[in-house]
Amino acid sequence: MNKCPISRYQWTWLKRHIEWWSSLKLISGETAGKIADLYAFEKEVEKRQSSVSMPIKILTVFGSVLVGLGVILFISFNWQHMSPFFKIGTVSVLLCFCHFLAALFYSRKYEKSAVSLSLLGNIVFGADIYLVAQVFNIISRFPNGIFLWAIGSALTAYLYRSKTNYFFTCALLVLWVLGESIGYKTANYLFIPVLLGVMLPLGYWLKLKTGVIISLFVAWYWMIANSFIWISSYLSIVQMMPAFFFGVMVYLCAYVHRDKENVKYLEPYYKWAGAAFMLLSASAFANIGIFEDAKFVLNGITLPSLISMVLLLVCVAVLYGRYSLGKDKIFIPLAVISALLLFFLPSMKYFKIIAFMPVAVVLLGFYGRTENPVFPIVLAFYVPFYMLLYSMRWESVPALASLMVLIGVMLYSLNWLSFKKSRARMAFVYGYLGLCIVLFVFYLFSFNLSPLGEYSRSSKISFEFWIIWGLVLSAAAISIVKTLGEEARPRLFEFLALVLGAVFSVLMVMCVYLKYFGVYVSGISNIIIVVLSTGIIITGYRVDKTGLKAIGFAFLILEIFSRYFDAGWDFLTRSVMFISVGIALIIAGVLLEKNKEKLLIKGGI
Amino acid sequence: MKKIWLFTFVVVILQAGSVYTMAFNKLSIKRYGSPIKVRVEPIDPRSLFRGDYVILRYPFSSVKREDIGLGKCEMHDIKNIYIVLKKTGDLWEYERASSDKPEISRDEVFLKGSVVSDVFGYSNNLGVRYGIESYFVPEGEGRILEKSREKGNLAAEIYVDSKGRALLTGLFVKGEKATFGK
Repeated sequence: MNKCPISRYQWTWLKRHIEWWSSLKLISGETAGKIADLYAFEKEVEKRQSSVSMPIKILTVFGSVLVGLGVILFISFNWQHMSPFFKIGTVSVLLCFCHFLAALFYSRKYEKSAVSLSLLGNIVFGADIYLVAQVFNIISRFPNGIFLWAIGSALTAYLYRSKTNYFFTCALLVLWVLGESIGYKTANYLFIPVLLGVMLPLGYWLKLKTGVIISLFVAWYWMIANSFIWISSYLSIVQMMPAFFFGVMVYLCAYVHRDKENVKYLEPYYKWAGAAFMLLSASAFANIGIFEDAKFVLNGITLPSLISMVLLLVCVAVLYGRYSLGKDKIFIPLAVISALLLFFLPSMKYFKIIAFMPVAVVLLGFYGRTENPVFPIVLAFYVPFYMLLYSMRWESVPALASLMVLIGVMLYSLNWLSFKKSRARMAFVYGYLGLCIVLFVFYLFSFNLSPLGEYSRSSKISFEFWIIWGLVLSAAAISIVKTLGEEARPRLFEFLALVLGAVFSVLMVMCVYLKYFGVYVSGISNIIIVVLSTGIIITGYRVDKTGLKAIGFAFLILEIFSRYFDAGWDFLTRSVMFISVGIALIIAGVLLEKNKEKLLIKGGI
Repeated sequence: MKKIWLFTFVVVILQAGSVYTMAFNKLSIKRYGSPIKVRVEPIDPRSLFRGDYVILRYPFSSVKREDIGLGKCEMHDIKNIYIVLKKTGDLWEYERASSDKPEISRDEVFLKGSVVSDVFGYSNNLGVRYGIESYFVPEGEGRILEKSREKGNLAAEIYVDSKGRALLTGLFVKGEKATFGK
């Protein structure tokens, strides 16, 4: 007899209820076994179910954001006709309406719609805060408003066990930390209780791996920002030390999770995050070397930076001594020593070479230990980034863009070559990274940059550039030709796109000499972006790859929005448009959720 | 299920309450403070979501390091700064600054500001914000204020309470209160 396929969630529900029926003696042990035998957990069912749930989530969340934006715009553009308290009162009524409607939906089991409405309530709460700022002509310390907004939003994340509201809270807290560090240059010690009291506990409670990683990432950024605030004087490699040690500590925290059953699932994520923080901080050591005024200054260290470094090193030592680390027993001290070595550099003479040491140690140490392809891929990210920073001295936008497009084309070709070597995981990342780089460059050029011709005329390109450009062009050409090999033949559309990308990047670099060519760049870039992203979406659907679909849609929507803001900003009533589209999306989401059961049955799920 | 209604009630009270607290906190400055008029310069009139607003700069938006006893290139951790304004004719002018709450005479008031730039001593001045640096006007009318700046005849009405907190309530062009949206 064929078993009926069900999802993991349905399987858990069924098992729990069979136990309950047995305890009530409604069914015997034998019948319970027979019922359980009728069903089987299948991943495919889960995938099909999420194909119905995901659009509901996207529709309602996107709709809520649009309505919220529309309300803010509507009140802003008409604020001179309303009295201050009428404005705040209106938005407050809307706030109550959204939250109580969310509670009503929740009590009627429309959970996704309830979460979206509570998100809308949170957006309106933000609008309220900024209305008060507007009415009383204050923007003093705007991060305070964002902080208040985030705490209000965290309450609803707790109330509905809502991941959406949690991520919204995280996004606001990221803005808050950025605002405090960039705008006000304060150490912002309030972040520590927020991290330990709101971000991390909620992430653990909601069992959100991404949430915990985001929280750790913000903490790492906070360390970096504070390093600049704590340490006086000039740009110095010492500024990266606390962030590097923070990475080591996060890495070792993985072992704390390993020994506890309920949080064991987080162990690899702590390792990834810790290694990434180490690597990012170490990469910054190397990049600082690019700037000519970078100095090695020991006397610039202040008390807070010293305390943070000592505290982090103590934590590292305690964790290192307490847990059995296996292969990490050698990797960790090597990483720490390679970073500490930078303290003892006698001069700037060999700075650039030695500064790469922690990068190399972390990369090789982690890759050697895990043999996971992600770390070589980090290099694929790092090299274009380093090159971008390095090549900024040439001050030629088209030349830089040409180089980046070629790197993107080369990476996308590597995607197919990696398939040939059966390293599919690396292949996808190369492919996605390559696509994003190419699309992003064309997106930047899609704006009407009429002075581009002028700009490129005044730019200077050195011989050094032509060597690097020639090398990258050759590498891209070889990779494209190699994709024609037996096992790694890409689809025709992709092959044509790769060749066209390479040709266009050659034309782009000609902008430097043909000044009038720059005028046509924006038009051509717009066409390329539309054709490429449409092609990517179609390819994504044909091969059923979510990543391709997401990249295609993201750039197509970005393009449509950008052109809309370019052309129709002053002519269309934004607030009404946002509100109506948003409401339509929420209604579509609610109707979809209402008919979810029917759709699942129709789809044989 | 009762829990969800109770918690929703708490969320609404806390969210709406915090907004009204902010509003009443600012209103209390107007209720208990006294109005003064200071010279002002608008900088950049634009806001995407909130109509137009002008960013305002006051003569005391930057304070010389030596005014609060700091040497050139001397690092500091001063978060708040107090500036004393003295009445000169119709307007109130910058008199002195200090890092502690100042003693003032009858014809003086003090404002409390946050130090926002030059913690490391790269320049001779400290950037200070008082929470009165923006003024919202209907869309498209910010440019009028910018033109007034060129002629140097713009003043701001602010209320100041005994704690040095300030609230911006209006702008004056050539001595006349500016009205918008009509």
